[in-house]
Amino acid sequence: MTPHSRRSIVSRFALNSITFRIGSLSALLLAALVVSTVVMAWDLRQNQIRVAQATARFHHLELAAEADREFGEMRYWLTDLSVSLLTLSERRATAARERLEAKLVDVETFAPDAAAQIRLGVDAYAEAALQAADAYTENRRVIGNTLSARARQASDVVDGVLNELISDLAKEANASEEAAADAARRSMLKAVAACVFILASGTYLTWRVLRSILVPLGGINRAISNLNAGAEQVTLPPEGPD
Amino acid sequence: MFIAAQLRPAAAQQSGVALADEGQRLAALLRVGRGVVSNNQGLIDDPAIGDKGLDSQAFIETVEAKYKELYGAAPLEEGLTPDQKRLTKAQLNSMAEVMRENQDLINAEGMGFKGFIPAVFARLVNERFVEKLNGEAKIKVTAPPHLVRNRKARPDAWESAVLTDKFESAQWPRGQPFFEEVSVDGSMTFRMLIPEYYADSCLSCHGGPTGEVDITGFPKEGGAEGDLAGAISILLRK
Repeated sequence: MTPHSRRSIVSRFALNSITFRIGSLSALLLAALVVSTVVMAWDLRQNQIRVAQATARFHHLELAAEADREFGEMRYWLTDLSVSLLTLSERRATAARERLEAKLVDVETFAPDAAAQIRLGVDAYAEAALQAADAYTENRRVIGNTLSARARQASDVVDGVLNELISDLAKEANASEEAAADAARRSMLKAVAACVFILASGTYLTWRVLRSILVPLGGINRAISNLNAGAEQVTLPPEGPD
Repeated sequence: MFIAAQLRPAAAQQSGVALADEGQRLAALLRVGRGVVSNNQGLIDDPAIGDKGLDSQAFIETVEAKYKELYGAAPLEEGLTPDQKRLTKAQLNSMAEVMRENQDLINAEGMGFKGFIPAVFARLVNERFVEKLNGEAKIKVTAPPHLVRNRKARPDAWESAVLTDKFESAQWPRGQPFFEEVSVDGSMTFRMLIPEYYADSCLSCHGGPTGEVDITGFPKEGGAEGDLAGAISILLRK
């Protein structure tokens, strides 16, 4: 754009022609539309990220809860094994332990320290519980009970780590969900406020522009009507740039 | 390292054969006892009947009669060596004690399946037998690991090797036991494993469809009649 053309636009603005008034109004409204859309898109994107973060936290919580459930199942079957001495219980405990290990591989990605602690505890628990089962199998009840107590202690450690992990993840997931909900609420309020502002300012500006056009046109109409009616003295609106 | 019976020197083979005969007798008596429980399973699990009339005396009489019917002589009839007599007596007394101790269970009214099945009976009898002989002789019903239901029946290393290398081999003559003398804690011990195969009566619990839960609550193994089911393991310290 040359300085001449820029001056020309500025001068035409200054002249306040109908074209420029309508054009400016449209441009302003379109600009408001674009700005509000960009802001909303940005907000939506941010909110999407927050929702994804909340979903990821809930997924972590779900994985930790599943690990907890598998450990519970493993413990159930190893306890059952000590009483029943059935290989079925041992096989089911082994299967539960394998599933638990698979869950721990996932847990490790977001809570490596907890996963390592759980693994150590599970190893200690399983070793003591199986030794206890061996003792019960060989009718050595006293040593079996001692080993069962040792297994119980190891199990308590695993329980403690799992409970803490689940509690922390639940807090994080809830906080994340609340943050996403807050952001969504704020975005909605922002959108409503922007809408009201654009509507109000658009209405006002439209009214001003229309008024600036229609009032002089009304004067011309009246003057033409008066001339047609034979009036010799009519008042015309002052001449404008249009 | 296994020493097959047929490869033994003549003297040792003689001794091994005598011990194998003793092992066969113990296994046979155990099978008869188990069979009597099996034949009375319906009665034992009848919730409508209280006293089943299956006390230890009646049970032993039935076992002796059945044994005589099958082998031509009662378990304790003449012709036994003092050792054979002692072992047989211990086995019969074990059966009597197990039956006596389980009368409350067997005669429980209003209770259907009681879990007192041939396998449980055999395990209890074998455990009592071992106690009575202070480990001098042992009988155990075992099986390949994938068929074992109770941990007490898990095969030890020797049993496991015989089951896998001998009984599960297609070349092993069906029904032929394996025995040898092995050194245990520095003393020679006679060990014998007698294969057992599924009969039709076994298949309600051990047959198909694989994984379906049987009356004991255990998934069925999917066995077929004639398949290797396990083995009776005999250990005799010399």
